[in-house]
Amino acid sequence: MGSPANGTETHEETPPQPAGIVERLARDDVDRKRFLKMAGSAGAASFGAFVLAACGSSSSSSKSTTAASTATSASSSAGGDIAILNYALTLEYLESEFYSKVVAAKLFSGKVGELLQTFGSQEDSHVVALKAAVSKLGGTPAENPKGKFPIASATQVAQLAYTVENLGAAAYLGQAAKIQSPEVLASALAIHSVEARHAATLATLVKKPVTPQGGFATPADMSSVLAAVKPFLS
Amino acid sequence: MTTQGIANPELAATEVHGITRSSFILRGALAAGALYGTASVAPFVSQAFAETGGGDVEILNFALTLEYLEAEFYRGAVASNFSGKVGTFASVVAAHEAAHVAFLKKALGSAAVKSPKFDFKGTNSDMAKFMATAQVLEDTGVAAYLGQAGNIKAKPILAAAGSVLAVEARHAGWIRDLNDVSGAPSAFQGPKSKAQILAAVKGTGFIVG
Repeated sequence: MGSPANGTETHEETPPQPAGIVERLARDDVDRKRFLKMAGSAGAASFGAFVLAACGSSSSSSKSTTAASTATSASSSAGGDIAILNYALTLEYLESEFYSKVVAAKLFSGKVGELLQTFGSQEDSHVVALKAAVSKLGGTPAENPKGKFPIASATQVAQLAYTVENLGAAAYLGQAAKIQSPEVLASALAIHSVEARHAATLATLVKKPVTPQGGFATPADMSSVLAAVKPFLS
Repeated sequence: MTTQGIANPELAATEVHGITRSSFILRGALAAGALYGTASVAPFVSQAFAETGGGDVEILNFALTLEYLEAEFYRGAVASNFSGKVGTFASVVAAHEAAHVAFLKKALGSAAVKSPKFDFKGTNSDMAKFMATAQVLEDTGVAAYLGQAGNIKAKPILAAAGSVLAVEARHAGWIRDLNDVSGAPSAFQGPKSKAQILAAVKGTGFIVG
């Protein structure tokens, strides 16, 4: 992965894409760096601000602003890790909220009901751990975003849980190589492996592939994940 | 990381939607491995080794030893022809572990350790023993990767390790479900050190040469 210190990233032509937060983030590395810088600072405490930081970025061409952005947005390693932890925290808040709504809806009983309750309380533990990790680095933990999840039937909810867990697992994997602190990396992977276990369990529940990507899991980039969770933000 | 001397340099230029090229390296390489074959992918990893020194070689050889064990264990299980869901689990996982071995061997090149000789003492020919042993192996494999991740110097290698770890964790969730126990016994899975893992492996008696 190119490091900010190199400052020599070039950007190749990409096929024309529709405008929008996600697409701008996807094609403009400058936007992502600014976005991460803002997300890592004390200012962007809410996920709303998090997303707006992406919206508010300029759409100027990557080539012309790469050098400037490299200089101005080179985050301290703690800043970068804080941003990643806050990103993970936001996802965990959403997962935690999702499970508590599911449990409250009383759509499941018996073993499956217990399973969902357990997974939910594990997500709660992840929230606690990530908040502590952010604070320990001197950052401000992201606020709990308001989520909205369709809860129509047991089948639909189980399917959504499968989707959410797969997304969460891929999101962590997408950040692993960017984490600076070995301690933060250890925590992130410890959580990530549990999300992967959740995904596997839910796969067997909804009779979908346990390992949809085969022998090597593919990571999801932050912009893809943000796009995927956007419908769940109220 | 340059693309000099690497076959299929267009792999380095590939851009997947939502990923900058700089963060693409191993993700795309792993996915492209399916298209181009691991022979094309491994040089990217090998180059990473060259840039970061020998510590990662030792870590990957440790991983390779564990993957050799798992691959052989599951190969034997497939030969045992278990029926139903257990049979499916065995054959799907066998393919994954074989792919992990292939990837690590290619990445390590001449630095790759040879496979030990194994005797699984009937644990992959009796269904109940297989299911219990597979659960232990998968949980242990995840703990081993978690124990090493922080030591990995090269980012592409860390990405690869993460990618494999994620799948081993899914294997663990899967066999636990088949065993009717929780796929995620705890909110956080703890790492195990290399010494702890090697002791555990030695304790199985599976390595006989």
